[in-house]
Amino acid sequence: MQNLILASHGSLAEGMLSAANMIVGDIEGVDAYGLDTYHSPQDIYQLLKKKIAEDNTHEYIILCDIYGGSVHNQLMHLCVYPNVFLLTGMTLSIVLELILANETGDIEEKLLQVIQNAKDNMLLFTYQRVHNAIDKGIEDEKLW
Amino acid sequence: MVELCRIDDRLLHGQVAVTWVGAVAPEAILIANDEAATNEMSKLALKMAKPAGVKLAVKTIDEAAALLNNPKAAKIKIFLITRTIQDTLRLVSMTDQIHRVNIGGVKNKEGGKMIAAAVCLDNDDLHDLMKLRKRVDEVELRMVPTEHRISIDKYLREEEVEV
Repeated sequence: MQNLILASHGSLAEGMLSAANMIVGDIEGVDAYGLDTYHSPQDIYQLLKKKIAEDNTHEYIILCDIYGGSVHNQLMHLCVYPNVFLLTGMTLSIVLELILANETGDIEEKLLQVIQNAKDNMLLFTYQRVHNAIDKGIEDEKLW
Repeated sequence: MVELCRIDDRLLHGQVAVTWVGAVAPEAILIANDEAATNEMSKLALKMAKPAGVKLAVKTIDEAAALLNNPKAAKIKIFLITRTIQDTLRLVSMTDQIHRVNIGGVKNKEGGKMIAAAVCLDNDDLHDLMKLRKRVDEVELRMVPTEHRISIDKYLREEEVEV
């Protein structure tokens, strides 16, 4: 089984879980650790370390809010365990994709793909860009 | 073949794209809505919500009925999306290709009654829903596929709607 763990400053992790719940509903097996609740990165680290050390049969996917932040810096130490996979730059699309993904296949490959998909989903929309797209014409695809 | 017709006042949005499209696994998504089919900004936004690997077309109700009546449609797994109960009723009166209907979102309105988290029905809706129910095999209420599916039949019986 793969466990998904969201970790952040403030309450972003809990908020992210709340947003994901609103979209897909009834999420199980996802834990959120925000610094508003857990006070220090060290606290989160100790809790997760205990959990992971007790159970090395599961894989742990940890999503941190920002690369180089204190949460990431601290939780990176969990990578001493071979069943830990840590991603930085958590977004809602990443969380949803991981919740909905099936657990088969190579996990590292899957996570790299999820990161790529998230990057592809970051786009800029402006008056000009939107109008350019519309001016190019929005043709329906031929369905059959 | 229309695998499922979903009624959702937001048409195709992230929730539908990530949950229903995964569950239904259609080859094509057909959005039947007069307003969206003639509004370029709506079309652009709907195209963006489309998941990869699925074809999408946004058509008027009349065009959608014609497409569904094309014999080629029988061989394709189609996920149909409409905005209202009334639009769906119009569609089923023009094509017999729709058998299963899911109600996900019906807009709040004055005099309406919330019968599920995002489903608000007024008297007109109830009457049209009864007519729709008679023309298809199943009408169920569900926001996302992982939720428990609730058949509309029990609710309609309780309301004792006269047609």
